[in-house]
Amino acid sequence: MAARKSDIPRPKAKSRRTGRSSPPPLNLDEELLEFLPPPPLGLGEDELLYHRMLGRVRTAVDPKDMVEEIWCRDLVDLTLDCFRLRRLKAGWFRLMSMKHLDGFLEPIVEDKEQRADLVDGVAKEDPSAEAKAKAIIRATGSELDLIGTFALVDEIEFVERIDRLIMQSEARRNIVLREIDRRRDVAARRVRETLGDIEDAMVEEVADPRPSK
Amino acid sequence: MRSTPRVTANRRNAKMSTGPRSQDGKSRVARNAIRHSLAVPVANVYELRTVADRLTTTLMSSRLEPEQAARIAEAQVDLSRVRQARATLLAQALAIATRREANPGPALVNLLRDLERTERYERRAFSRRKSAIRLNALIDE
Repeated sequence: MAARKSDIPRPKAKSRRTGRSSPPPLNLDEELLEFLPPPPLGLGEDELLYHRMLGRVRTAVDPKDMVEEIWCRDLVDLTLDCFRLRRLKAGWFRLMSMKHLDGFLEPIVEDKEQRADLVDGVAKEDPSAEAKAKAIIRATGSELDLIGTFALVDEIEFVERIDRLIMQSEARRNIVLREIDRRRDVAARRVRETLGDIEDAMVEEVADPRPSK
Repeated sequence: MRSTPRVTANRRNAKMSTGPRSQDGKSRVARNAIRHSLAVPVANVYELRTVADRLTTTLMSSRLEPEQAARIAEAQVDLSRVRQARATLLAQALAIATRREANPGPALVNLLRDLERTERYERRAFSRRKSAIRLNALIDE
């Protein structure tokens, strides 16, 4: 297996800033698990899935130090946050659609149990329940989709609040990506400067071959 | 400039609205700061301070200045606990949203409000960490 760059021992050199000697190379895999706080997971969420996602992100980012490791964790945490919020939005919308459907059917299907079964069937996407509900609703001159639309209109404030939270998480994720770019740019500039210095040092001054007058 | 009688009246009125009066109200507001414990500084909680100290040591081995490493570690621990709180709240909200309850609306609205409250803690910790990392990069340059 090819060694990662972070595993390659660096030459011992005095730090320009503080005069400290260079630290020993990090074994980031072990230190990540040991020193960072545990992943933020809700009850019943799969830790293995989290670490699989983290593994993929780390492969893509190829973190060079602990700060970049922290950013990798951020990317996973914020992505999961967005997933959870989107699921919440979908769950809320489904709940409210069913509530509106129940309200719409109340004067038509008076038997409470029969109505609850019908609404449950639509919620579970049972084709026969859907067909029955559609037929009942169409007889009144309306459509099943319209009921969903009314639910959205009524609950738009809640949906917007969730959307705002999603936007904030996405914005933070973008900031992290920009920070990674920024740091890599600085590193690339430093490499360019170093290479320039090396080239300068290697260039020998050639004496003018022409005889001096 | 406000007139003296108005200032006097404001001060007199302000004395009439200085928080809850009943014992129950007083004990409730006394617990305001520890409702979700996200406002408690990392340094005041032994377990969190231990995690932050260990992270500081690790960050220092990544060529970070001790002061910046401590700032980054503290902000990171803050971020982690805010995100844990958010994940727990979202798990509760998702559990309610997938159950068929008679009236899940109020419970979900309350959970959403709690989620929104965690936002400012995350924003502050995130910003503190970003500044500390950038400051360190500037020192490094």
